Amino acid sequence: MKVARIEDYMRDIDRSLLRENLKLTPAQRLEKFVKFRDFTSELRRAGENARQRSVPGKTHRP
Amino acid sequence: VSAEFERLLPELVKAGVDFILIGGVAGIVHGSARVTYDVDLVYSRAAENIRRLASALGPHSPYLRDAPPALPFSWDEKTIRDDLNFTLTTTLGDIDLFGEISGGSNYNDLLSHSFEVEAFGIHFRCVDLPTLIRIKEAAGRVKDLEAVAELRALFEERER
Repeated sequence: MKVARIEDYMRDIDRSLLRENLKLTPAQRLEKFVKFRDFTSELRRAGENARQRSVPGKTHRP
Repeated sequence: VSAEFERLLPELVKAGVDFILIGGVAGIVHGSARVTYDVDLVYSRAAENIRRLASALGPHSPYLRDAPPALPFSWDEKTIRDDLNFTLTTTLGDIDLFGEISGGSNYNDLLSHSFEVEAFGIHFRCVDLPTLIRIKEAAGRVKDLEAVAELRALFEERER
């Protein structure tokens, strides 16, 4: 089995994301991440609620 | 618990804690597009700094991550002095505190390889990109291979 090297991983990096981030200041990069993190937290919460609603007798969290 | 570093870092800065940001959040400062859920910091082992660190995190219920509940763990100066690195959960999220990192570097060693960042209304220090790559490589963890690859790609893009 071939052992993966860092160079192998580098081929699959989406550099368009990196180039967009490099246009921002460090503070803007952190703010962008905070927004994304909050977005994923909301999705996670919505997913938990949906799963609970699908289980009879369980109530969902606001 | 996803770290609220926009609250955690100002708490440390306001308390006068000397630290350098490393890890995934430092990667974000440099332009990484990877998601991270904890904050990694190298802190100064100076006695006064240990006192400030104990005091700053104390109100946020620090506890050893993944440890069974109700262990006799107390977050105070003695605990920090007697140990070196801590993986903690707090009410502000998960935080990893390093007195020393792989390869033996500490706060004083990293100081000249760091720069000041202004964000969230505060100034704090972040490790530079070549050193962040070196730290990740020194850790030698398989899970870091992708992160190292991305950081190297970032370095290439930045130098273009």
